[in-house]
Amino acid sequence: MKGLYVFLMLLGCNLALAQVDFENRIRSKVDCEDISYTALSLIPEFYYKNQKDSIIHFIRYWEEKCGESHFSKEIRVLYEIDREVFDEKEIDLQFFQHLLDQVDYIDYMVFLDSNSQVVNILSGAEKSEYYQISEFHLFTSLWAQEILDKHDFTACSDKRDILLAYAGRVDEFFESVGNNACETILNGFYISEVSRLKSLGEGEFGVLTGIWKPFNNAAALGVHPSLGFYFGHQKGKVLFDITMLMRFVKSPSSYTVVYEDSLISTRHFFGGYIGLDVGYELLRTPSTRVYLLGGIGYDGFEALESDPDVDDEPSRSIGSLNLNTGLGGKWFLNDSMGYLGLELRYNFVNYNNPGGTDFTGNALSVRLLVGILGNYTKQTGLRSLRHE
Amino acid sequence: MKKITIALIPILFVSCSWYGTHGRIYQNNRVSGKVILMFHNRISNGFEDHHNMLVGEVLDNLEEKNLLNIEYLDRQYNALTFKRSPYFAEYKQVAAGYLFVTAYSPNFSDVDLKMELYDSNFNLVLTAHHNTFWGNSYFFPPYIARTIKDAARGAVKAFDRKLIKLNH
Repeated sequence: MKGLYVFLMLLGCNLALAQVDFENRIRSKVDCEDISYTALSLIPEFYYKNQKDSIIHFIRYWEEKCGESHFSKEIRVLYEIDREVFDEKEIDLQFFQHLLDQVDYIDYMVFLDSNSQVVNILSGAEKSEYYQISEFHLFTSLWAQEILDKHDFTACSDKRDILLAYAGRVDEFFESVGNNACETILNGFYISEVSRLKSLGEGEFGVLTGIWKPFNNAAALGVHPSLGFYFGHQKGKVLFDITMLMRFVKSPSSYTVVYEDSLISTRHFFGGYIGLDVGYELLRTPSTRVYLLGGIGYDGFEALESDPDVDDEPSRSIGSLNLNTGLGGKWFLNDSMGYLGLELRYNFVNYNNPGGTDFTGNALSVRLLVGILGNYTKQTGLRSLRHE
Repeated sequence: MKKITIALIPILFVSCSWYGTHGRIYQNNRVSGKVILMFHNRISNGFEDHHNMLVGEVLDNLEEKNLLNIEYLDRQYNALTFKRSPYFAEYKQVAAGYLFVTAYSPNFSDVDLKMELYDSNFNLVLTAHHNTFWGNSYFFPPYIARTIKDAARGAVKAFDRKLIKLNH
């Protein structure tokens, strides 16, 4: 009986403890979403009541409970710059990224402000969140502007650049951090990021059409249209492409080839080129690139048509090494990666046709290109840094 | 005697300049002072766990080789931005060198990692580089956690090799 009492007492204690534990857990749970939501309205209230010390106490509480967020960092930095206690040791790559995120927020807000139809399709909760964040941004930008007006920052100052970003003066912010004469920390990160993005390679793919015109004795083959495709990669100023193209249409006049000791006259022509083309970029503007071109490959044509269904059908191909050089340009369409291109190449070829028509002579080729050349990460990254 | 004196003067100058650039880092096959390690990476894309993983892997590999007396500075700088930061003035008095690790992901899964060692006068002593796209082969596209590990191991191995070569 005594044992039963002890057992019941222990069970009771355990249950009581379990209940208290549960309650504590429920009571101690902090909903960070609630704190953030409250912060968006409470902080501007503190500011307008001139209770700036309450702002920093609230930020400390917020960061202690929920960790650092974009908004808490923004307010803390504004407060520290305003009170002249901001430590520039805080500016590192993560801080630079924080400012780029700020610019993204502003761009997004500007987009939403000017596209009411997008706001209209948001749900009620999303819409209310948008209005609250929008008001918060308005408050932080006004505060940043006030600090800028109050303090006399020099033109090359990290603090001024930070405030420009917070004040929503995005173009001035990028102009300032992109100014290499200002050797600020933020300018260092800007230079590093631009140079990293610029060093990224670009992929290329496209189709081509054009004409091929041989000279001297090879002129007997006539002018032929060509059609093909290419793909490659540009790193720095050098562009490498693998190109494959076909040339068709019969020759305008007959020519002769030797087939099994017989001289055969034909007008048949089906040619092609497969090779490695290289371009060196001579000029670049946002919409144009001009290249010095070179290439090496196999160039040939089928003089007698082969028919796989007929065993003794005569077949004869004539080939040559093709070394080519020329100039080319690419014109990009509406700041996209798509372009139209034009290339002019002089082809050194030496078609060997023993016993038949002499084809000594080189050729000129003109190619019209339609393709894409670029790197999405590089292009969007440089654009977001407002770097042309 | 005069000839010997003339020959000794340039040797003295060359050895002094060598000591000035490298001597403050290496002494008796060991690092003579603190080398400040910093990271500047673009592989995390805001995800803290990848940055911490990269730092952990590089530190583990460096510790295994036991060549440098590393002090890790938990701020993201490269050589250019560190020199402009207030930390530079602070560390100038105590650092025997600076080691910068820059990393980024050239595609969805590979890691391109570069290590640059500067001496106390901020002269570049050596660089080591490892890109998992060229340096490792995987049967299936790997997770970035694996390529971070491989990139750190590959770069520290190359760094170690170059450091030993430089020391002899």
